[in-house]
Amino acid sequence: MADFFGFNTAMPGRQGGRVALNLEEQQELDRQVQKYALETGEDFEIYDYGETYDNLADDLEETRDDLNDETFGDVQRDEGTDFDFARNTRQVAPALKKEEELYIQQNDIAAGGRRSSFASLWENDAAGQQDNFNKGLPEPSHAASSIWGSFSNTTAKVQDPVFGVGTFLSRNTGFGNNQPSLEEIEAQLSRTAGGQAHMQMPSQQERKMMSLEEVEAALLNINGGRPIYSEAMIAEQQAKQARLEQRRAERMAKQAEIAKHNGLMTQGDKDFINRIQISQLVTDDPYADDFYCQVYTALRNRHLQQMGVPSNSMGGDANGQNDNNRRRGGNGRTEQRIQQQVQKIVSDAKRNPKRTNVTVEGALGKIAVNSVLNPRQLLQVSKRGANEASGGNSPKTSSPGPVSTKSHTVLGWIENVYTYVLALEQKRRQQPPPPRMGEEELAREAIQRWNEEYGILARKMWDELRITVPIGIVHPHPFISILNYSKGKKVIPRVLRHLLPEQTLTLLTMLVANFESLNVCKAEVYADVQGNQEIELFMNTIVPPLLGFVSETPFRIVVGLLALFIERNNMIWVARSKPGLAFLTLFLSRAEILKQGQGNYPIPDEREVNQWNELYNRLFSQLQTQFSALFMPKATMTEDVHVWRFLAAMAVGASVDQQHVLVTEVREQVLENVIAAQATRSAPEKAAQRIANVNLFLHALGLDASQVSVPAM
Amino acid sequence: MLFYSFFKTLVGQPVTVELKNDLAITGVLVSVDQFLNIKLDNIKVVDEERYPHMLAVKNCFIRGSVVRYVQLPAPSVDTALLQDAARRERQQPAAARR
Repeated sequence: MADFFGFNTAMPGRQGGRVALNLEEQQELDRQVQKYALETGEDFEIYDYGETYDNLADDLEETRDDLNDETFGDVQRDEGTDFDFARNTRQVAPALKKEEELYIQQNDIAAGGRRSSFASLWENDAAGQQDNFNKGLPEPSHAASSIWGSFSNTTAKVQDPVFGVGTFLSRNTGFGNNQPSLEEIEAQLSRTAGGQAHMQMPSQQERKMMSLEEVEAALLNINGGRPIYSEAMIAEQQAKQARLEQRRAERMAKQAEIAKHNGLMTQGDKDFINRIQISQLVTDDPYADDFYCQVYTALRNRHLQQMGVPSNSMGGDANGQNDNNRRRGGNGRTEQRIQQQVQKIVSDAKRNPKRTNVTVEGALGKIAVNSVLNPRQLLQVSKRGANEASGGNSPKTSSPGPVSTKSHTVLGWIENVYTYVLALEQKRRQQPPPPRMGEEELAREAIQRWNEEYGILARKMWDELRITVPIGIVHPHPFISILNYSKGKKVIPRVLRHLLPEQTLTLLTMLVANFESLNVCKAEVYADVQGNQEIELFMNTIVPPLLGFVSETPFRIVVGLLALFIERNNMIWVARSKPGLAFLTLFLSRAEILKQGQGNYPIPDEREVNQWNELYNRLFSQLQTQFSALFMPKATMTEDVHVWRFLAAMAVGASVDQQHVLVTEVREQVLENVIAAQATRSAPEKAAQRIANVNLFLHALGLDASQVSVPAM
Repeated sequence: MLFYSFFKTLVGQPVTVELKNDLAITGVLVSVDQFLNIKLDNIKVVDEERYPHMLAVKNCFIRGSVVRYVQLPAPSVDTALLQDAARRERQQPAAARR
């Protein structure tokens, strides 16, 4: 018997273990299937596994089942109704049917209607096996067929690992040609895989290769179109082609070699590595940790803007990491992702500050956690010495008694000045924004606090400059000692930006009062290159900002400054130095401008003018007989400009007698220059420079170089 | 971080890197990291006769620890700013340095 507990054990769709449908049968089956589909109106699908079934079951032992009846008993004889599941099932068939419908509906929603109705699936096979059922079962019930259907569906799932459980065979209407073509499988696979990238890559590569071949073909066409002159040429072309071919093969091999490692790391892995790298470099305060790069970039951008070159995107970045990324040309999405990661890392770092060493419980030692920011300390400088140095520095600020001017002390002062200047500049950058609507109160508070902090720093810097130390306690004055170092000179323009006007005036007064002791005032500095560099530095750093300051002072102060200048310094010495002459010129020209009543300043009254004239006469009488000595021996004519300028400033304010003295004294220099300019061998621009220099002076007297008659040799 | 910050501004500039094995390589600085590992492009070895095997090399990655000197293009170094940066670095208390 082919019965098992009253079930028909013959597999559906198989007779005697073999699928034996001839063409007519198949067509008949097809027709029935379509008819059923029309009748039920269902989305009809065929899960065909007949063709792909590997007939493994054929090898199973079908004989020696003689004792089955003894083991399981003769079901025909004393069957009873214990195992008549079909009948039981039929009783609850309507309920089952309903349940199944519900399930299908749910499934349709979930799977987007990909799954077919199980019942229909079974029915279509059942159509072919109608007689079998009629024999074995009392009557095919809907519920029973449903159960079978679900069973056959699972077998389809198991048996079709290649095609998956999808519905990709739905397009094939017949059984005969339902083996899908390779392309269809591929398309189906790529569709079910959700169009993943790895499925499409080979086809893209193929396309690329095709295009390369096309290019080659095109090249060959061009070659073919050319008239061929000789055998050698053909051979050459062939060789070239072979070479190209070989190179292409090599390139392909190399690409394949590299491509072998493609996709080894996922995006997550790459992000992880990036994070490690960036977390080492990123900082929450770029002006502290990345100061050079930040300021350098800002300066360069400003410079480029001044040059008229539009600044690139690097400008205004608060974070140095940005421009780095941008320079590398990463695409927008990657950049954004990195940006987010950077922010996360920064906030993480803020939350838990890194420790320098870790003590593991139970361990005998400590584990040092060194990083780039916190390297292992190799030098152990004793704390005691550092304390002494700082302790020795600070009291001097308050008690100016034992002020020493040893070089390292002065250098220490200068460094302290720099420290405060940097702090002030940092404060300037952190200036609170102007108040927004509704937050005036808050903003005012912030601004007030900022002003206080700024004021404290500015005062500390002012103290460190030691300008207020009384004159005469030490020689040279501490402030002058600071100015005697090039470092100290360089810091002055930056200091002046943070000073109040009266502080600047004090600074200028102190400088003027001690001018003689400046090293740039001494004659010997002109002898060597380094001395000249110092003078150049003084002229470039200290003179311009003070010139700007003096050009806004009232007459009274100019008079006072010049009086102090003449009083406290040997004019003959000072006037021989370039900076000294520059300051004298500055005061003289400023006084002259104010005397003539230019600008918004009131014309000085009688008393002030008298004071001024007195001062001028004193200066003139001191310098008399020395005017020609102001010219540097062997100086080139461009270096003389400042002397001519000074002479012009003197000439403007001079009386007729004084003018006469002036002209007599510098007559030789004027003649020398005019003769040199007229000499045929000198270059025209040099000659023009000489004439312009002389004219600076002569114009102040109401004369011109062209009026100078050169005495015959 | 001062040196890293400094070298970052030199990206795209030609530099000469002298290694501890006396090899000196001139090239355009491509990138630098916190260990002062250096990537160079369009490289040229200064003493080509001595190192002919380097002729074919077009770009390279140099581990920071093998660098002896880096020769910089003078115009692209702001020494005053570098001094300020060094001052700032010193000012930061060691504890604040992560």
